[in-house]
Amino acid sequence: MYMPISGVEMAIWPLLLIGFCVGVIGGYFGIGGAFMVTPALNIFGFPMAYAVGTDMAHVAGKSVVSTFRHWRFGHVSVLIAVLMIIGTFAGIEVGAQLIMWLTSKGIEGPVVRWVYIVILGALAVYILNEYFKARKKEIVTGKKYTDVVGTKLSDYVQKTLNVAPVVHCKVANLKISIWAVIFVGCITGVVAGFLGVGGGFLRVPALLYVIGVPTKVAIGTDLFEVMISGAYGGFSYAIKGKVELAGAVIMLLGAAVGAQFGTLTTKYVHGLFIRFLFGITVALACISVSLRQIGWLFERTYSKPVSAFLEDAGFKADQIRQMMVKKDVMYQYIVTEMGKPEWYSAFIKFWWLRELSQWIMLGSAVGLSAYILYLCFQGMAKERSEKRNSSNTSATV
Amino acid sequence: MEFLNDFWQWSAVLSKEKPMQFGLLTVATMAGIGAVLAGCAELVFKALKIDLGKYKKEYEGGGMH
Repeated sequence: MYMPISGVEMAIWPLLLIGFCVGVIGGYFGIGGAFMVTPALNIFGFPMAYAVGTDMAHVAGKSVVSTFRHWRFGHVSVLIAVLMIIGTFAGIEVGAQLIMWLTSKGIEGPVVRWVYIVILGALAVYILNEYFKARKKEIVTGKKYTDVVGTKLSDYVQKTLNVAPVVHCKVANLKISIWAVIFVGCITGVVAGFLGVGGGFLRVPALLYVIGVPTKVAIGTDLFEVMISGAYGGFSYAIKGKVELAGAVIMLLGAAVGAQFGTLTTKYVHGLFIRFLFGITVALACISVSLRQIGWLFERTYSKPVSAFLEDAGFKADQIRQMMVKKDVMYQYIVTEMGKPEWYSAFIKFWWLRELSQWIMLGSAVGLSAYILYLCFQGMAKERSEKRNSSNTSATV
Repeated sequence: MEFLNDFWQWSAVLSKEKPMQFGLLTVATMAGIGAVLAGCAELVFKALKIDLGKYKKEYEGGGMH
């Protein structure tokens, strides 16, 4: 299919597949999933410049579907979501300013990736450690743990930092100062703006560990935020001409179906298990970003002189970005025209690491969504058989 | 399909000539399709006899979870 805005020709099935997988994952974890979509789109030949904007636009539609379903289940705290949004929007602006300052120093790329790696790594370790601790406790006490609500930090935030006005959130069953929620939203916003991501993978842990809401409420509440921020992001990228509407609509068709299953699965599994899979996802994302960082070590040996060479040859920044990831183009310029085979060998290492990093994200998106689907169908079958049994019993009585 | 192709072409022109309107069109299209698909899925799940209302969650009713 021809995409008239970006000018690329692309098959429909990869867009539907990516949309479906990220719909399942987003509905299950309460995130937008940009960190999975962007590399996946790029693997299938979608230009990076349009990948982010198109993803943002489809997230706006997908979150409507997921949020509606979570709201019906009673997983959405509109109050906490609105307060978090206020803080998030303010924070994103601060984060964006910070990144502009780093860009002016010319060090934004590696700094952002290192911060990304540290945050993802720390989150993965904390979440997985918490899960295994709970499982260990189960063995010792013989009691089943289904969710861990609150931490020492969230207790402190709720009970000690209770600066007026304090609100009672019925859905999450907690009392908290609105300033605390806005502040947490602001901090996650700063980090999201700094990393250039939607921030769902930051807000869900913040809601769990700092605000102290149950897992399923964190998921539903974050999706409400994703819906608003996705609409804002989609609009913002669209006015810059960076949204491929046809691509976004096709992705949305897949994502809307996937989101139904992802969201429904949260009904059939316990919060603690959702956290476990979330921890695995974050760990895989950390590995993927780490590979990109290693790739950058090779890329920096040739990128500046090659970019300058291409600029002198009359190419624009957007074109250069696309050329710098194509093997045949780079061979022609680096080896044939510049006579630097050692730079080409560094480029090949960078290229492989970049491919590996993208395939890890795509592979984990497909694998995780397949597993979540399995859980969903298992839960649906169980629910239907329970209903059948209870109707048979009442008929016998 | 003809209609869809015309729509994509029109949206491409709009994105270049009237970016604000294209921004609004993008958000409205996404929200509209999202809402329609959510409604359709509701009907499908109802036909499958899947309960989509509030249910008893593991964290409700107090105690350690």
